[in-house]
Amino acid sequence: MSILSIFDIGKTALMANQTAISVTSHNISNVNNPDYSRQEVILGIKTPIKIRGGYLGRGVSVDGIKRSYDKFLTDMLINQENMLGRSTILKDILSQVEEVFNEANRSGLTGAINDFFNALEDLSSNPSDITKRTVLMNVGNELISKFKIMENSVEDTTVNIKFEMGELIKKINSIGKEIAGINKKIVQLEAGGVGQANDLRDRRDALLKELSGIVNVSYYENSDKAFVVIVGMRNLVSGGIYNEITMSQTTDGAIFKLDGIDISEKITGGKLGGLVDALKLINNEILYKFRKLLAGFTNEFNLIYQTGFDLNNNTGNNFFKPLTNIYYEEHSQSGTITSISVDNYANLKFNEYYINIKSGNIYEVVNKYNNEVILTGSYVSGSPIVFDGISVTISGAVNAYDSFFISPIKTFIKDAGLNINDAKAIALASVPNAPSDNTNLLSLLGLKQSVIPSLNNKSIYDFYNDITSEIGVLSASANDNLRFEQTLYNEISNRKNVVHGVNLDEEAVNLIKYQRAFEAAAKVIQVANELLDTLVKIV
Amino acid sequence: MRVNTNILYNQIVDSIAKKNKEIYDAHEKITKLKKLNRPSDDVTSYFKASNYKLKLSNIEQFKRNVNYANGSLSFVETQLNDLNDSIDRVIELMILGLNATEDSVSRNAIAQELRHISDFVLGISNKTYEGNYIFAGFKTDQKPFPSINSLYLGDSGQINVSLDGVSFININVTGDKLFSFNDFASTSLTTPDNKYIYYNAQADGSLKIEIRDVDNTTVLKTIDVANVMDGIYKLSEAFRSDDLISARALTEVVSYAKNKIVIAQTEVGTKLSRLEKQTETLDEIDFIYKKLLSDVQDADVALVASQIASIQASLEALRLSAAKIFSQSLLDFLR
Repeated sequence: MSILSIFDIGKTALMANQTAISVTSHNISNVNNPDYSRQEVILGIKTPIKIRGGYLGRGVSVDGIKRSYDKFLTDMLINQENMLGRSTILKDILSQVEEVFNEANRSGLTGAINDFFNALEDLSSNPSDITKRTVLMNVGNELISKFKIMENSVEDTTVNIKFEMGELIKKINSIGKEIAGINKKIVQLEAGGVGQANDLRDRRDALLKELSGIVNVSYYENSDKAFVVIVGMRNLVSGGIYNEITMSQTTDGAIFKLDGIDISEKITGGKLGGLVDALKLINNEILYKFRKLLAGFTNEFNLIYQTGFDLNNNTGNNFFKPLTNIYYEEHSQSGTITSISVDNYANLKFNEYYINIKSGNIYEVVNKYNNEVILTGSYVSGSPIVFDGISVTISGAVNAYDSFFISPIKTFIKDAGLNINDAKAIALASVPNAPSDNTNLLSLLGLKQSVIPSLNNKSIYDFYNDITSEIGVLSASANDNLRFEQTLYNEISNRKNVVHGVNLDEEAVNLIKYQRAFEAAAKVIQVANELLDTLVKIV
Repeated sequence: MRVNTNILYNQIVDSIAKKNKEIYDAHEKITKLKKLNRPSDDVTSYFKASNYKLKLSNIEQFKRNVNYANGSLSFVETQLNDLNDSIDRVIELMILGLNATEDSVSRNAIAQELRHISDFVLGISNKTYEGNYIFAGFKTDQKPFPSINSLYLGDSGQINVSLDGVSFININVTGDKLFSFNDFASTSLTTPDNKYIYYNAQADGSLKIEIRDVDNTTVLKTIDVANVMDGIYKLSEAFRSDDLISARALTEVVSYAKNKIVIAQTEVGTKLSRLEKQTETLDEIDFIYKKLLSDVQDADVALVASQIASIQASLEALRLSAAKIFSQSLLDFLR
């Protein structure tokens, strides 16, 4: 037992307190880093040595640097980030779409429909007035162009959605790659079992949180202390290995593949899940109904209009361009659609259909939106299949699971226009040679209120209101959801902060505490030095 | 709870953000003077509002319809009044001419005036309003009576205009009702000198008059009257040639015409007063819907302004407390 051992004890104290000051500084410097977990030094007692009469302490040791970490809260926050990501995107997109249909401060489509009927109404008192007839043609054109502009705006949103999906996929892949890299480093650093790679673990949690904000993930720590990250039931990251998600666009959406397997159906959360849902809503609810609206209305209008006579005594014409261009997709090896046309305008219902081939050469015509089977029969190559006013001829060999998509509305708005370009050719009379006969005109005016079969037995106004109210309700609930998820997120984030966060006052106290201890340890060394000095002087 | 720097900071930032959003929303209401700015603000009210707007637009249109109907019927009424005056004069002249004391000179003068009246009535029958022949039914692009002895070339088309989307008003009187003899009940009568006069309405709207001798068989004279104007013209001819029996026979034509005109006048008058009432009704409904619309969509400016003031006050308090909290740090005391 020598004086020199006092130097050693003082040294351990100096070292330990210096480490503690370093950790405190690290805490202070990360006070504004939301992903950081507060660290603290774990001090231990150095193994004492046995001397005569007992044990003598040998000072202090740094046993470790611990993160203040709550796994449960971290998992909750990562999960909540997923909900928040989805809600944020849905709210953003739905309020964009809502603006297209918002008529609170401008006249909008309802105004255009009103103008059209009002022009007809104006003509009722003087049906042969060429000026008023020209006005009717103008407002008819305006009505159509309003549909075109609105469809275009909504389609622009879908283009942006697909672009953003691509960007998010890139982000997912880069995060996957980074997590795999960090996994490797953590495994290396923690291999000796000395301690945890605190800062790398914080970084990995932050990446996981970011990833969860983009897509629904699940994850676990494997025996090597590396994370396995799973997206759509396939591994995105497993230890140091990562896979990439690929995306391919389709007409109505996108297909995501991980490890060569289609995981599109399993993407339900995060921003990407929000985009997938938004795209479905826009295509299946909004665009579908919006196109059906114009198609159903103009067809019904034409059916009545055709019976009328114009100022040149012609009859049987259409006011609006009738449906001629029917969109289709073929999903078959050798079966092709050789002819597709309108069989009977009066029977058109303007839904979208799949003709599905079943085993035994049976075909089934299914309504895309309610999966209702409209027609079944035995497939005969080249023989027309007629349903809901449409006649489709498929030729060639077909197999079970072949499918043909038929849509009379997909391009309807783009193809739409007036069928006449001469004001005298507007047929408003019910008999020839009667320029002031407004009987047919009054029948057309009836469409303002009467229900239209292809618009689910609703009037044009009611059907359009349904679309707008649906968007309004969706947008309002997306708003509410976002508020709810945001509050929940803040709540969890605060709770996590209680454990993980840095308090500057606390750190200031620690700083002084360790500074004082450091000073005291220095004093110990000084005293030891003086003791030694005293002894040396004696000699 | 271990409150730390970030929790305090986040809480203050969140609260300020929330208050700012409230101010933004209130400000939007003030600048647009509307509390309803998009469907999701309040879906139910949005649809009430759009329904009221539709109603108001319809009312506007119906007001225009009523206006047009009013203009067109007033024009018809003026024509009917002129027609009525003319027929009254014809009746006066007819009574004068049939008076046995008149001589052929004065009958000639009567004939002359009747001739003019027949032309005048022919003019009325071919009147146009905004380029359309008003007495031609639906065939408003051609004269219903191109010449004094032509049959009616129009049709019986009734031009209907909607007053409120449910009820319609007919805004024209067809020429066949006024100037043809479709409704003339076939009849016969005996003259003071025991001759017979037979009236037979023809399917084409003209009237065949037969004057038979006392034996009720020998036809003395046949008069084919194509229309009322033709009747007045033929009456004038009868007076010119002192043919009093023909003139007598034609008196029925004149009273038939008078009767028809009075009926038409009554109808048109009734319609005009109905239009007047409809205008009042539309004005009333218009006011009601404007009020309803304003209730659902317009912002109460005073209310919103006071809301803004209260948000402002709480925002100020928040800033003050934030400043206090952040100015207190242990680090300040460590010198």
